[in-house]
Amino acid sequence: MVDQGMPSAQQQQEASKKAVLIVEDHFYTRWGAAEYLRQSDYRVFEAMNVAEAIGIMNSGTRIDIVFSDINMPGDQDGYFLAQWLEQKHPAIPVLLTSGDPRNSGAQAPGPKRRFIRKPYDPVEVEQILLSMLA
Amino acid sequence: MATPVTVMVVEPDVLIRMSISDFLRECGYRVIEGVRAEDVWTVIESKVGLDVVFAEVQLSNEDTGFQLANKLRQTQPGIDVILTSGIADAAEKSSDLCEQGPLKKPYRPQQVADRIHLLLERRRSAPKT
Repeated sequence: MVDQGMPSAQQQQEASKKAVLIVEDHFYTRWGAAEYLRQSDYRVFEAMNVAEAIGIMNSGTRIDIVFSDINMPGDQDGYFLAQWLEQKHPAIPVLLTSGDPRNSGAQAPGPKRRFIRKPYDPVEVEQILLSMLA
Repeated sequence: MATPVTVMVVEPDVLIRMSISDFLRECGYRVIEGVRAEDVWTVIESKVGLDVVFAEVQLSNEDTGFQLANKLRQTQPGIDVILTSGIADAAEKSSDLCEQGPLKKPYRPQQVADRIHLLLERRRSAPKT
């Protein structure tokens, strides 16, 4: 709603928040992370798979950081999303996560890529996001 | 502060879901986003206190919003169920809901619909690779 005419004070405040895109197929996990980050004053967007995440990115919605699961249903996983973002939106940091012990985030190296294992403490997630946005 | 009125938006298209949810949050609602009927039951079981379910009729090939609405009306009489069919209808009904909302923003349905169409158009015309 932010680009419709004169923004209200509330809209301006909303627009000044950092925007995180959460990509996670498990409903309860996504909901929990989203609620926590909203309460921590992030603007939160929710995608349940890589196709939805790319849809949000392609809609021109401003996203400052992506927090994505690695294994998700569909043709593409979190590593694919990280690579896609590297090409299309190289400034956006990505925090990857997984409960699968085979995943360590090693397939997405670089200064704007980090990994946290599931189950995660949302407080720690927030600290990592903050450090990546600094 | 009192517990905010909680709305669950159930909508398979991510951009429509995002727009409606964003809009309702601006109206002062706490919004939970879902894609399937079963997401609603997960929320109900969690006992956070759901007041409204705002669901698209066409949820998937198997689910319809009608089945969800019927089951909710039978088992959860305290939850208002709003069914929508398509973007214009969702925009209209979310504007109505906004008028009853905590912040009473005076948005016209057309503004909500325009926003959705803009996002969908950008997604549609983005390069495919």
